[in-house]
Amino acid sequence: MRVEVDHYEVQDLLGAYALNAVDAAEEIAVESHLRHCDDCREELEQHREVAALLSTTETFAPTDLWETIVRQMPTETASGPTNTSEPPPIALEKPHADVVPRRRRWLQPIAAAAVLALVVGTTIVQTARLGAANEQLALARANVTELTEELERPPLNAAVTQAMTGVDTQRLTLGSQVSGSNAIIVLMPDGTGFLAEHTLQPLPPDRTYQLWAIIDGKIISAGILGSDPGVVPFRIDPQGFAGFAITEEVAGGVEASENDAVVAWLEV
Amino acid sequence: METMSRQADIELVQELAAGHEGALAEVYRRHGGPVLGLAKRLLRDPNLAEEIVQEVMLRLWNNPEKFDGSRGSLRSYLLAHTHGRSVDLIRSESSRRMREEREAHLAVEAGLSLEEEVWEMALADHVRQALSELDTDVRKAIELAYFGGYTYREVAKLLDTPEGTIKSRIRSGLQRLNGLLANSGLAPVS
Ligand SMILES: [Zn+2]
Repeated sequence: MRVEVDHYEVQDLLGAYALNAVDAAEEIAVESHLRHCDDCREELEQHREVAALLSTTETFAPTDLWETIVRQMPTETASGPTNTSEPPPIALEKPHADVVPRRRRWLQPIAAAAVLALVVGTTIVQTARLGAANEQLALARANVTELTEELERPPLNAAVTQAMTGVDTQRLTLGSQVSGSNAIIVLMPDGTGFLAEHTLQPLPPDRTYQLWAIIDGKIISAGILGSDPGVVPFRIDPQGFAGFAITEEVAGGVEASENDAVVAWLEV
Repeated sequence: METMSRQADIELVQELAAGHEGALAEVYRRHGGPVLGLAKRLLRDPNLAEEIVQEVMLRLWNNPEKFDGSRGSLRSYLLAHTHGRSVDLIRSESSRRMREEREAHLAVEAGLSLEEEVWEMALADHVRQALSELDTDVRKAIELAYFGGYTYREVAKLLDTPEGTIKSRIRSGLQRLNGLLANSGLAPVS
């Protein structure tokens, strides 16, 4: 998922970002911006070079560690420093791979079942987690349905109006500088929220908009909004959310989005 | 000199992409030490640090195209990856034990201990010199973030300083270091 943020906000974060010292939402914001800002990318590269100079001048790299690496290289080798009389390596099998899962950095702190990961750029969805993710997705859908039913008895719009005028209600505008689209969501203190208004283009029936929330460093599907959303309710954990984004997906929604955010709001 | 070693990096990675194991061996010989050193410093666990080194080297072997020689040096690329993965591990919820140990270090690190540790590290003389020319507040922020693996928000808490201040100290400190090191012919001038 990629979202937009202000150039100056990102610039401010570049030093910390270069040292991996920003939180998940900020990381998404910076990376999204870097895709189309040469100035920021250049500055980041410079920070990284400087950081690299802070590393030690120790040149000793242990031989046995190299041998461990060679054993894991997924290739038939006849040369190199490895002992070729050893049994063929088990390709791609990494020791303790569970300790260091290869995933996007900002997806790291994800608790197993609680989350639907949005993966940027790559399609690494951990298959072991798909079962749980699907369950979550079903849950997210069920939640929306149930909420819709619950709320449709008193007219939904009345509930939204009430929500929007409530004292403790937060009103967040998800935007995009590229498309000029925006979407307004309102959030009540109990975590009930609505997609209240938006200027999103209607999609073909085999596509849907999907809402994602960034909570506590995790990317959570907050609901499948449909191809031409009206007022759609959703429910999230109201504590500590750091951002929302809407992506366009295949009808039914996805466990992990590889698409750009259509609109987004990030607390940076 | 800078350009020459950059060119050497690019050629090395090209060879490696062509499947020459010897090229990865050369990368390991040149950069393995600092990579391991950084992982150890951050993780405080030699076994985990070695796993990170393995992962970093194997990623370069499996995805050599991810390194873009026009964007920076191979050393900084490998170290950035090492730093990122180490920090992942530190912050991941699965490593609660590590977190507890880190917490125990917090108070100490905010004090003199980290400074001493950094001092004892085998830093190049001119790098040490440049670091010592930074304001203490600026240097501390950078050291805690880079060598301690803390986010700038955590650093702000540790140093009891507003987050925005730490954020800009890190950025301006890195820029200043770049200037200082550029004089010694080592840092890239923008
Ligand atoms: Zn920019």
